[in-house]
Amino acid sequence: MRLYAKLAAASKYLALTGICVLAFSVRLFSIVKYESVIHEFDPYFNYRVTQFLTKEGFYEMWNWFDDRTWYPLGRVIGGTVYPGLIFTAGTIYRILHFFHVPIHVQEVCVLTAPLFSAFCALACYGLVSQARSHGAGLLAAFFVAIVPSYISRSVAGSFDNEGVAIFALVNVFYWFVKTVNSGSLADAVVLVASYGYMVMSWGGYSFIINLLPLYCLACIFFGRLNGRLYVAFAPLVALGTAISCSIPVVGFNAVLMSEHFGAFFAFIVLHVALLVSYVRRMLSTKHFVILASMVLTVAIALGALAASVVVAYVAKSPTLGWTGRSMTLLDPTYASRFVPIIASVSEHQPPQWSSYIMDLHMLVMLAPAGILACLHRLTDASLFLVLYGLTAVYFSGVMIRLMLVLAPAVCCLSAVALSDLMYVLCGSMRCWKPRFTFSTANDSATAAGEGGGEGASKAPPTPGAAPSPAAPSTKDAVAPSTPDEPTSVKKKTRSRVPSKAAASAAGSKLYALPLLVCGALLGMILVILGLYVVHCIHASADMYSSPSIVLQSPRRDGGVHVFDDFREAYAWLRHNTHPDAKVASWWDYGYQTTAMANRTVIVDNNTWNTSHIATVGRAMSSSEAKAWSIYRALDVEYVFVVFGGLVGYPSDDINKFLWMVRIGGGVYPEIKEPDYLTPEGDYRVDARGTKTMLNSLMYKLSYYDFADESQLSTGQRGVDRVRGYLIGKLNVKLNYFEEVFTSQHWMMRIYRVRDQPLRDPTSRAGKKGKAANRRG
Amino acid sequence: IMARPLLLPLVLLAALGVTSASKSVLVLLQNVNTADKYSKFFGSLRDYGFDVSVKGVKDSTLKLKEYGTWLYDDLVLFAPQTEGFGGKIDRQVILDFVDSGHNVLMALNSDASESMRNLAAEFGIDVDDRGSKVYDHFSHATLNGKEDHTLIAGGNIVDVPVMVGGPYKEPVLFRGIASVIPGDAELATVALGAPSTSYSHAPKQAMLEPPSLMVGSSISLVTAVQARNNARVVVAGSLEMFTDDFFDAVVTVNGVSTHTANWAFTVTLARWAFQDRGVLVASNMRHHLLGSDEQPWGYRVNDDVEFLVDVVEVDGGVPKPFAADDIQLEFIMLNPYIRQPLQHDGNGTFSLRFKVPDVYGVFKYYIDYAHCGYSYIKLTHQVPVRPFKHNEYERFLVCAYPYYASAISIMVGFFALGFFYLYNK
Repeated sequence: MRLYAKLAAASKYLALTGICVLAFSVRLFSIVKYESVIHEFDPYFNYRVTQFLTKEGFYEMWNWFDDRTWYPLGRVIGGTVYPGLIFTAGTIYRILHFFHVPIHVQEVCVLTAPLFSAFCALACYGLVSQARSHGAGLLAAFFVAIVPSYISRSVAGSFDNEGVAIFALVNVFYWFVKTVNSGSLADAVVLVASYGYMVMSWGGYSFIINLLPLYCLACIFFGRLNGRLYVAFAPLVALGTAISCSIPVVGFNAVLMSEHFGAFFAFIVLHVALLVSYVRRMLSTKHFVILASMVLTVAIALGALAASVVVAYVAKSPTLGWTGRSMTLLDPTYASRFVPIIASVSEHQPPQWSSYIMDLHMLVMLAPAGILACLHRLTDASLFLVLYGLTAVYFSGVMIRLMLVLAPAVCCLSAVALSDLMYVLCGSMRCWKPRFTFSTANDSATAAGEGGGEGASKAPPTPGAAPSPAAPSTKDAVAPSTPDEPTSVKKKTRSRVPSKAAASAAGSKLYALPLLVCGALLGMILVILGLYVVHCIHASADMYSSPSIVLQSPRRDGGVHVFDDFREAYAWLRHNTHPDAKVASWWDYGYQTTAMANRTVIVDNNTWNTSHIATVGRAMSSSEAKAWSIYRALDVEYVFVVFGGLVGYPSDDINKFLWMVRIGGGVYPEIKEPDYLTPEGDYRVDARGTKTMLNSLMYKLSYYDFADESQLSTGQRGVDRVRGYLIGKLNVKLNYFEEVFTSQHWMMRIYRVRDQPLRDPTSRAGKKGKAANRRG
Repeated sequence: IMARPLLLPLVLLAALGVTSASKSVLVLLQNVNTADKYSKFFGSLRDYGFDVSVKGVKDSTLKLKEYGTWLYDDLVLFAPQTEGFGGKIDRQVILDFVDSGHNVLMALNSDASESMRNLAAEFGIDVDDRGSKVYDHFSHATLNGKEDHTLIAGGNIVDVPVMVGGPYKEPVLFRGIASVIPGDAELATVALGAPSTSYSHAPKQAMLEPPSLMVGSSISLVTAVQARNNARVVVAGSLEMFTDDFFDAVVTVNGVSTHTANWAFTVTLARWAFQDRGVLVASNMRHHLLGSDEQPWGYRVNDDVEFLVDVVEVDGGVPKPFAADDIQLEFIMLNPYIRQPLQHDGNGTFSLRFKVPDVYGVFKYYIDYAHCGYSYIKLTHQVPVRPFKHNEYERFLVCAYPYYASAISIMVGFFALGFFYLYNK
């Protein structure tokens, strides 16, 4: 028996190691298929800050005022960034270099997210083994290691906050549940520290600071209040708030914004509830009732007063004290009505139902069963899992980005469900095997002990029905094995013997499933798990590994066509423009421009100043002359647009243009969206497009000289392959801008804002053209 | 960072230093044999150190540029009737000549050709139709006993001594064609304006009904243009005003006999046009925190700083300190937060001390000095203004003592309670 336990432990650690390796290596497809580069947009900013950190040191980064973004406003990087990811990567870099591992900071950044997804698998294992059992924990770790939703944000190169934040999130939950189970102050300290790391890493910490109070209130409501919960929750609120306050990007928001009020409320309620239970223990029932009525009267009066003050404070703010992003979560229509800049981001859109299947695969089906399984044998920890799952489902339905928060929850719940199912099936099989040699009653009792212990036994009173509570006798017997202690496996093995005895003593009849059914079900589970693995590998390899700065398209001969236009254009800017030149583009490309081209940008992906972005949107939507004066006022020397019409790259600036119009129009009322739409309300750039549209700078910069080039590729002048029709105005003339660079596939076109003319010829001399032609 | 704003003045200074010894001027005449008519004008230019070479406008060896190098610094076009140029000169070459910082002095007359008219239009000057003349029936001059209503003597000389010299007691004689500059012209200055009683008319053409004439003081007789690269162009409506005849003439204006100011006026204007006068060179722009000589990367909000720049006026190749109290310094981030005149110390150093505004961002120093007659000074220098570092804020504020007290009292209370609870059995 002892040998078995040791073997079990060893195989557990072996499995965990394997899962970690799997989690890390499944995310390396992007390096294998492409190269070791930073992906997408935001990671470039993080990469740049990490570079700065490794060069200049911690304090310089903390105090960094960046004069190369948001010209001329600048950006206080240290105070506006969630530094967790950057510090993490910087620390890894430092440690490696301390041991003389000469690795470039870019490789560290590329591999940080895969590394932390391995950690996340461990954290999930911890969380579920606290909530249920080690077997379920292993399953959860396995699920989360390869769940596509999480892979999508943590492939190698995806150096984004979410890469470490999901680990941090699950880690906080693990330590919280552990503290709730153990009541240990040491665990509570680790919990506060891990919460601090979470706040440093991601704005999503507000999910935690609202979920935990919710859980706390639920515990009080369900009568599960105890000292262990207090040890877990109260220090977290007090010290966690203090820690959040000292992170500049959060600062006083931690006590001023409505996101955090729930925690304070639960904190107060927790104390009141504990006080009440204490007083109730001290007094007789009669005295208690008298006291309660007295206190309630006073408390209601005081509470009303306090509530009115808080309400008055909150109502003062137009968003009721919530940040725009939080408002979007609570009221999904909020952003589309009031904050176009949030609504314009594709990852802030609600997901389609198919993306649940795509990103979570069979876990979508298993998770509801997991909720049932958790509720079926409710412990403090499983209640937490249920609440986490339910809230995450809601948030993921609002914003596609928050699928990421849902993924670990779904993995944990599915693991609980599947492990319960497996225990029932395996238990049944084990009791069928010895059937012919031992007595039936004993065996079925064993099955019940196993099955009931894992909470999904098919109990006889309702044969064939959904999982019902285990028989009272077995429940008592298995009670010690509920995961109040982290070492529940050992206890469980010990508890089997009494459970058998108890079951047989009570003489209850529990029937095991037929062997055939068990076998078939187990086979099906294996097949489904196999399908899940296949799907996840496919998702990782084919869907989520593209770095989006390098694009590939398959050729007819089986090879791939590589579009490396973005890096080509950024390199051109880096090598051919003055180091102090200002480059304007739509904000999507701001981070990449500063990181890859090392040039000052006007706006970037940190959309903190709407009016500045609106200025750029206004310039793009205006006529050439007006745009010229706007750009001149901003000292802009180069403007670039991303154009996909030649090769059919759909996410180009023309397709984003309506958002520029909307955001520009939100600040500058002279820009009106209907001016850019056909009378039928369509957005078109063909002959039916409006005059304003065809005269806008965006149209001109995109389609300048396009007609002749498209004739070469499509055989017809001016056919746009994204829009699929003939563009509205073929011969575009530029007077105030001059083309300086167009990348190989025309995906990026760079223009120079012409200088003011040296001379001002009169209209008589104007036969030859306007200001532009007369530069020296 | 300093390099770019300083580049232009430095290049200018270098150009001046090299060429002030002898700046070469190419004069194109309608007929090279008529050079004697302008001998005094050219002689004065030579006296001022210009290397004047006179050629015919149709000379087939003409060229302004050879192997990418400009052969001349300045161009004088005394060939109003010509339609084209000989050699390798054409309109575009002349425009390139100006756009690369060189100067043109052109004189027209009533028979000015279409190509000359178009050339003037390129510099922002609209010349009246061919054949038209400026008439003034009130303040015209009588020369050699012959009263001529097209011989204007009452022209208004612009009050910019650095450009035209003066003030003049004698009149500047003018006989030729009118031109106008657009009302919103930024670069052109009327060096010699027509009297208010004058008008421009082509006697051989039928008068339009209603008449649309150039009338009065809207007419510019001599126009000075300074392009944004400080190249200068002067367009005079009269070629005769540069002749020895007009220099030496004794005329009767409204019954008073007087000499003319043409010689001094035209030579001064030509020297101005050839960047021999009124050239400002700004250099050595620097700024520092008060109490430190080092030029910082940027400032912190509310720093006290000083900005300095040296400006010299180059006159005849000799630099001398410039003195003016209207050079403004702006400190801009989207909007100017500071806009104040610079103080000068008499030795050509202009400075301003000020407090950086309580706003952080990427500011730029900006000087845009466009005083009439002087070359432009346009300097920008970017300087970031950062907020306080995290350890630069004031600590232990008096108003925060209640919070310190509450924090300490809670700690003490917690410790006492813990002690009491643990050890008081």
